[in-house]
Amino acid sequence: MDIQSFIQIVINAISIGAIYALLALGLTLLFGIMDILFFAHGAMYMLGAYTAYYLCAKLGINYFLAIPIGIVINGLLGVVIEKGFFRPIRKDHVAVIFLAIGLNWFLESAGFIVFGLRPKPVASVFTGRISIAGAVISSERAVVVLISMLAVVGLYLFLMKSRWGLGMRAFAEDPETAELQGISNDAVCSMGFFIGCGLAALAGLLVAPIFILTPTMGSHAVLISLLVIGLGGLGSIPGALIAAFIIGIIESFGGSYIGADITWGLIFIFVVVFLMFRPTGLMGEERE
Amino acid sequence: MTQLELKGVSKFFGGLAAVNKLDLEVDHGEIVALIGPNGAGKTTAFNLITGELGVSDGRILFEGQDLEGMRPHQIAKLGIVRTYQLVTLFKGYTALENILVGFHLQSRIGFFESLLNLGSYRRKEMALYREALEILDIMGLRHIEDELAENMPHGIQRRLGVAIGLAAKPKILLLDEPLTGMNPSEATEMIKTIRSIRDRFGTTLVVVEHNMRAVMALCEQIVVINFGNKIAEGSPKEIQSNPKVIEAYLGSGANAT
Amino acid sequence: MTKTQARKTTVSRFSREFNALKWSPLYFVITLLVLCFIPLFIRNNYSLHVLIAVFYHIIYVTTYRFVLRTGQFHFGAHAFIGIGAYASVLLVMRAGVSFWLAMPAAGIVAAFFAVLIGYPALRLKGVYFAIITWGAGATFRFIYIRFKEPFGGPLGIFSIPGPDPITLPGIGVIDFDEKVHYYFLALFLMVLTLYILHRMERSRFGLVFGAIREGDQLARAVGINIMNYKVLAFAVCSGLAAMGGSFYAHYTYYISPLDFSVLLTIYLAIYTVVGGQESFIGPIIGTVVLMLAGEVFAGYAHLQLLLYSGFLIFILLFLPGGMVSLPFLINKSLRRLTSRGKKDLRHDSAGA
Repeated sequence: MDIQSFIQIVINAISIGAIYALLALGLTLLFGIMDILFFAHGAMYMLGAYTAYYLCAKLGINYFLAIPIGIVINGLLGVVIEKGFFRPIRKDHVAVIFLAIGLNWFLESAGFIVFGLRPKPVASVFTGRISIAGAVISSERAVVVLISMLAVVGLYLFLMKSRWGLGMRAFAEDPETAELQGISNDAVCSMGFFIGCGLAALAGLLVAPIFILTPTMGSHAVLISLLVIGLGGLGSIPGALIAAFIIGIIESFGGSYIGADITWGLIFIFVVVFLMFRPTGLMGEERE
Repeated sequence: MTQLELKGVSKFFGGLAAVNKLDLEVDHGEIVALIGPNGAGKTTAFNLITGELGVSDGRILFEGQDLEGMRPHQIAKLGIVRTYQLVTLFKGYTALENILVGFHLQSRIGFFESLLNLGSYRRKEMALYREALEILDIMGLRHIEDELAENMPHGIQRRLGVAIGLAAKPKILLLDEPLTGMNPSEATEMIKTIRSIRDRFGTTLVVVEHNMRAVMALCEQIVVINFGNKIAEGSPKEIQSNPKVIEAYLGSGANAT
Repeated sequence: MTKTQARKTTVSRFSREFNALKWSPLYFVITLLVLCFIPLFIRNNYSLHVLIAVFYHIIYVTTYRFVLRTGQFHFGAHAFIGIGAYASVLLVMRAGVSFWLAMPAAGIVAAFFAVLIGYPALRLKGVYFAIITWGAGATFRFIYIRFKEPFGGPLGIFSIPGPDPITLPGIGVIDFDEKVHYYFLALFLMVLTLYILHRMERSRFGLVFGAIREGDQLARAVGINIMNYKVLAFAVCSGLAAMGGSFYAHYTYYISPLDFSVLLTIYLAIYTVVGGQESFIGPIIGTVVLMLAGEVFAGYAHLQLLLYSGFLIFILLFLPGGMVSLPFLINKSLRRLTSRGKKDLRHDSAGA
C-alpha cells in the first residue's frame, strides 16, 4: 500500500465522515429537543438532494446559490411539519416515534411518485482535482469537507454562544423550567426543526453532485445515522462527530481493501455488539 | 431476635456521604421509625436495603443472610418489600389488579399452566382473587376495587400503595412516608391500619415519616438520622427529650411534639 | 389536565372498556366457521392467495404487537421472520428434514437468537433497542447476501418444496398441490398463534407484562424479574413469527434477502398502530383492512406505501386509539349529543 493510496483513502474517509457528521448532528439536535429519534430525517436528506437536482439541473441555478435556497426551503418544510404534525402530540412519546416513521416513508413514497423511478444525476459543479501531498482528490469532495466543517463549527458556536442556542439547550434539559424562564417551547421546537432539517438538507445538497439520486437514499441515510448516533451516544454532539468519522474511516478503508458489502456487514455487527456491551455508546448520557 | 441488621453501612455519592456508618437493628415484629430532617438519608437507607442502590461500605444482614450483590426482585423474594415516597402504583390498573400483581411471589403459576388454561390454573387464580378481596377489606379499599388507580384521590392511592406491599406477604415492610399529604383524620385511620398489619400478620415495619405525632403514637423504637449519621435511638419518650434530636430539628420547622 | 393527558386517558379508558367487553366465544367460533367455508365459494386462486397472505401477516402482526406491549420498540421483526424462513428451508433442502419438523425447529432457532440478542438488548430502553434490532435485521440480511453457500446470496433460494404430504383421518392424503391446502394450513397456524398470544395476554402473564409497562420500579419491588419476562415474551413472539416465516417460505417456493427488510417491520408497525395497538384485536383489524384495501394498488408498491403511511399519520393525529376505537368515539359523541345538559360525572372525577 503506497502512501498515495493511503492518503486518498484517508481523504475519502474524511469526506464520508463529514457527511455522516452533518446527518448525525441534525438528528442529535432533534433528539435532544424532542427526546425521540426523528426518522423522517432521512427523507429530509433525500429532499435536500432532489432540491439540488431541480434547482441546478433543471432550473440552472448556480450551485452555490442553490445551497442556501435548499437549506431554507427544507428547513421551512421542517417547521411546517413540526407545527402541523408534531406539536399537537408532542408529549406522547410513543405516538411521536411512529409519526416520524410514517412521515419518512410517506415522503419517500411521495418521492418515488413525484420524482420517478429513474435515478437522477446532478452535474458535478467543481470539475478538476486538488492535489494534496501527492494524492489526488476531486474538488467536489474537498468542498464537501470544507462546507460541512463550517457547518459543524457554526452549529457549535450557535449552540454554545448564542442566546437562541442557550435557550435550546435549556429546553433540552427541562422544558417546563425553560418555559418558566421565558423560553418559548414552541419557538425552540420550530427553530430546532429548522436547523435539524436544514442540516439534513445540506448533507443532501452536498452529496447530490457526487452520488446518484434515488428516493431510497433517505432510508439508507437513516440507518447509517442511527448507527452513528448509537455508536456515538444519543444526545452527545462530540460523540456523534467521533462516531461519524470512525464509521467513515472503516467504510473507506474497508471499501478499498475488503469490499463494500462485507464492510457494512462488519460495521453493523460492530455497532450492535458495541451497544450491547456499552449501551450509552461512546459518550452518551444515561437517558430514560 | 434481630431480623434486619445494618452494620456500618455507608453510601457515597462522589465525595458526599448520603449514609455514613449507619448501624441499625430491627427485631421481629417491631415497628421502627426512621426520622430526620429532609435529605438526612432515610430514603437512601431504604434504597440500600432493597438493593436498588449498592452499598459503598458495610453490610446488610437479613435473618443472618448478607444481602450484598442481590438485585431488588431477589431481595423482595426474601421478604423485604417497600412502598415509595412518590406514589408508585400501576396507574392503568384497578385496585384489584394492583393487588393481584402484588401477589406475584405467592402465585406459583407456571407458563404452560396458564397457556392451557388448566383447571389448576383457574383454581389458583380464584384463590388469589379471594385473597385480594381480603386485603382490600383490611385496607378499607374494598368499595373501590374496580376503580382505576390513576383516578383515585391521593390519600386512597397511598393506601393502595401500602396494600400492594402487603400483598407481597413481606416479612419486613418498609413504608416510605405513608402519611404524606393526608389530613388528620385520614392519617389517624392510616396509623390504625398500619398497626393492624403488624398485629394481624406479625410483619415487621420500618417507617420513614415526618409526621411526628404519628411517629410517637405508632412506633415502639425510633431512630434519628441527620446527614447520614445516626444521632439518637430509643423509645418515643427518650427521643422526645433528647437534646441532640431537638437541635437537629430546630430550624427545619417540623413539630417535634 | 393537559391535552396529552386527556388524550391518554381517553385512549386508556376506551381500551379498558373494550377489553372488558366479554367477547362471547361465539363470535370467534362463527368467524372461524365462516373462514373455513370460504374456500367453498371462492375458487379464485388469487383471492385465496390474498387471504393466505392476510393470515400469515396476522401471525407477524400479533406477535409484533405483543413485544410492543412489553414496552419495547421492536424494529427487527423481519430478522426473526427471516431466520424462520431460512432455517426451515435449509433444514428441509439440505438436511432432508420433514417440513413438519423443520417449522417448529425454525421457531426454536429464532427463539434462541431472540434470547441471545434479547438478554443484552432488552435491558435498554426505547431507542437503543430499536437500533439494535434494526441493526440485527441488517446484519442477518448481510449474512444471507454475502454467503451464497448456503443462503443463496442476493438471488435467494429457489424451488423450495412445499410441506410433506400428510394423511388426515377421514379426509385422506393432503399433498399440498392446491392453494386450498395452504389456505387451511395458514388458517390453522394463525388460530394456534392467536390462541397462544391470547392466553398469554389474558392470564397472569398479561397482567405482569402490563405491570412492567406501567411501572417497572414497583414491579421489581414486588419481586417480578423483569428481564426474564421480557426475554420470555420476546422469545415466544419471535419463535411464533419465525414459524410464520417458515410457512411463507414453503408456500411461495422462493425466498430472498429482499423479502426480509426493515420495510416488513414498518408495515407491521403501520398495521398495528392503525388498527389500534392497545387492544388485542386492533392490529388484526388493521392488517385485514389495510391489506385488503391495498389490493387496489397491487403492483404499485409506492402508492400502497403512500396510502399506508398516510393512514398512519392520520390515525396518530386524529384517532390515537386506532380504528377499533372508532365505534366507541361515535357512540360517545352520539350519547353526548342526545344527552345535552346532563353532566357526565366521570369526566369530572377524571378532570380533577
